Amino acid sequence: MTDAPPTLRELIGHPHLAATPLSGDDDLDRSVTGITLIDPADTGLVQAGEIAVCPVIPAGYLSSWRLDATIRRLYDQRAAALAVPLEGPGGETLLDGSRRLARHLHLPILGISGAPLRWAGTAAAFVHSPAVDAADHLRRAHRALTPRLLSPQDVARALTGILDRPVAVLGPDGTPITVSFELPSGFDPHAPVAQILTTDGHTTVAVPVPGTPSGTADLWMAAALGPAPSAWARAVRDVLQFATLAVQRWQATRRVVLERDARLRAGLFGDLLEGRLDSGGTAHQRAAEIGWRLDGWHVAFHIAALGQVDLLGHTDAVAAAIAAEQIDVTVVERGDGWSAWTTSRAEPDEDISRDLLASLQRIRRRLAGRFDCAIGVGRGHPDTGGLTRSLAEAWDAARLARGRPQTGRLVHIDRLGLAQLLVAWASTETFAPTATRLLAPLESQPGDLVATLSTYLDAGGSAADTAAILGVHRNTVAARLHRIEELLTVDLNNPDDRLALHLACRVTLDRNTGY
Amino acid sequence: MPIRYLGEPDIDHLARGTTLLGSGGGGQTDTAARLLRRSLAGGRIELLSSDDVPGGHVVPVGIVGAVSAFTERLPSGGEWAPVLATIMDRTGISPAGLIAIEAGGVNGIVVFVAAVELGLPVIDADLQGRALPRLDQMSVAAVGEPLTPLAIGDAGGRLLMLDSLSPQAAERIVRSALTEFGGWAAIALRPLPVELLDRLTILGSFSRALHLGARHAAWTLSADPREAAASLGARILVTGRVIEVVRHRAAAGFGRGSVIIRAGRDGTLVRLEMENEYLLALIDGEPVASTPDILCVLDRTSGLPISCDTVRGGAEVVALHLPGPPFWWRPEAVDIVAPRAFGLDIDPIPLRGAT
Repeated sequence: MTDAPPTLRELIGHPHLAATPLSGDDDLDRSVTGITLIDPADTGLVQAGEIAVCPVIPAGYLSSWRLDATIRRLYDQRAAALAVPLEGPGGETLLDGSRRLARHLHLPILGISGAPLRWAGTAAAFVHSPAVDAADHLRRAHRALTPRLLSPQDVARALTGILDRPVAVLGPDGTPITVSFELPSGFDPHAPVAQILTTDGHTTVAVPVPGTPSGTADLWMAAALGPAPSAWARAVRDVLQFATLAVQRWQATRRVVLERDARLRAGLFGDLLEGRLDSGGTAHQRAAEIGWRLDGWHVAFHIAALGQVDLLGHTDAVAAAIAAEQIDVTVVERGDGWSAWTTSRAEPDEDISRDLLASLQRIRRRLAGRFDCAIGVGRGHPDTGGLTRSLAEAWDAARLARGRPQTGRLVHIDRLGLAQLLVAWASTETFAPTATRLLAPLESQPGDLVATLSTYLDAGGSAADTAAILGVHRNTVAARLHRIEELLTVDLNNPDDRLALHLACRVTLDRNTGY
Repeated sequence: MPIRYLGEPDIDHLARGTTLLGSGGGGQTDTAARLLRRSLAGGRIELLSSDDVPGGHVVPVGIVGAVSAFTERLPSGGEWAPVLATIMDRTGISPAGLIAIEAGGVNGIVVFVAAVELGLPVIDADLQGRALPRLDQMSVAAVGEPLTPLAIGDAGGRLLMLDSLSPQAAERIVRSALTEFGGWAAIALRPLPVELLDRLTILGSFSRALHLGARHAAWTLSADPREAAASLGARILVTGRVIEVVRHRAAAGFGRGSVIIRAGRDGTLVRLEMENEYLLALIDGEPVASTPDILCVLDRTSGLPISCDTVRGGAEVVALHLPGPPFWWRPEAVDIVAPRAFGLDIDPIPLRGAT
């Protein structure tokens, strides 16, 4: 693949070709076609578009008229630039007049701080065969990433060293995970392909780490190159793509570990929920071994993922999101999400639970880039039995929280009335369809029979109050009640029937109004 | 040909002309001019062409050393009699006149001060045709003739005579001895036969100096610099502002320096390399003029020459290029005063159009 030759600005953006423009920032956007070595006193030929590198300079050269004469000669030969050591043998630098002359003649002067011959060799190799440079970087990446398992952050760190440019791991939507890193506005997280983005002359390369078979990106690896030759940007893309293999390897290995741990935790957790973790038992001991805290006061919460979510794939992220809030918890996968609990010596007071709620709300937002979730919080209870209880409360609260966007899908069991709790229990998958079925015959009938029934039961069986609330005549209410009894074949004077109908009304109406 | 005299009315032109021939060096002539005015005291000095002198010898005289020291400690009278007596004693020659060792700068005036003191006429010729810093850069040395016997001395009777030494050795010894003389000393060189003056010296130097001085005196504030330059026989290198002056303190020899002038019109950058004199000019990095030609920096409005010692950043100036004495362009002579003689590794650049 042949490219347009790199510009001077791009060339010195390559980490191995860093050079200081000594005559200002202008005139750097010209093509470089080659590198030629010159002698300070030489009047040899330099081709148009070449950088003339003066690798060895006598003392005083940088401040002498000779430099001006060289600048003039290179200008006449239409060279791309003059490159000289940044400092002369005596530590002297360019005169202001020489910088001005370079600007006046539009012949940039580059100051090379390292060994100029090495710079010239690297530059010539890069200009003439960028593939060699790319292969060298790939080889170094291969050496760094293959011998051992590296976390995505460690992969990014290793690449930062190899590329001499910031490399970061970003979440599926492009937000940086650990270090701060900004992707340009042109970045598209929904296109899981390598993206080379150049904004204002600064190039960023972003490469997706393939995740699920659906083709979405699990993570992104990105490198900010600054001004960079296009061949170098493509080399970086190849290096990053290679690095995604290392990240995937880490993910796969980690997954195996997580699943093994998850099985163990699930077993213990089942024991815990069923109250079998008595102190002194072997299960209790194993729980202690994996770091579960069972003594003291516990406050449990449950994070329920909404929608189809691969729980194990996100366990690390959930743990990290909680850890970021400085909350010390034990996290266990459970059903539709993760249960966790905090443990303290003393009974948690109002302030602590308020802080916990605020933290959980932030955790929910933090996880929003991955999946939406509902969080329920239990009350504080002591010891193993209390933990079981708090976990149960958290689970129930989470179920309630699912249907409560107005509370930010975060519900604390303390803030719930017992009646709501009852309703919540009644709202389970087993009861709710039954309730709907029970009232179904009323749905297709004229007159708002379900509302009338509900109001009547709420009003304690007073037809007069019902009529007042609904704004209809009490005979109308009586007629509707009569029809309800007929349609449902129930007796509203029977307390059992009333109880069943009241619950069914509440569940049905709550559902319809969005609870 | 009628005999020419140099009197008080000529001193202004003489000072201007010798300053221009100084190429930025040779020292400030104003003090020397005042000294000469006082020495003449209304009198006049014969200024003879070499043809006016029937025969015999002339003795090159002047001062050597730091011109700044000369300005601080002016001649008190009686500086040249001892050195001339030493040369006469050594050679047995009685001089028919004096010749300046250097027409550029202070020495172009001092020769007349010496002439007043010694009661001798001055020949319209010198050994440099401009200002040059070293004894081995005398025309006599350039054509392979000895400078010695030479004598340096002062009015207090301190005296040093050298004989049978090469010009380079004489230069080294004199230079190192000068501190003992307080920085400068009067000097007299080996007498020169009048019939050989056209081979050994630069003829007409004072005619040129007086001519340049007269034209320069006509330089007015309102004059078009180009016309003024043309009247001097010069070309303008640049009209602009001095943006940078760098003086490199050299371990040996005289301090080198660079002056960078930016043209007001198009940003062209002219760089002058200097030692005691302006030696090399580059326009936008391209060498365009060099010693032995003469480079001058003049104040843009007053036209007054600005020496290498006094040039400062911010000054609005005109830089001029005057042809150097043709003597120095002779193939056998040019190397002695070419840029390489001053450590500038470049061939001398003839005036464009000159052969």
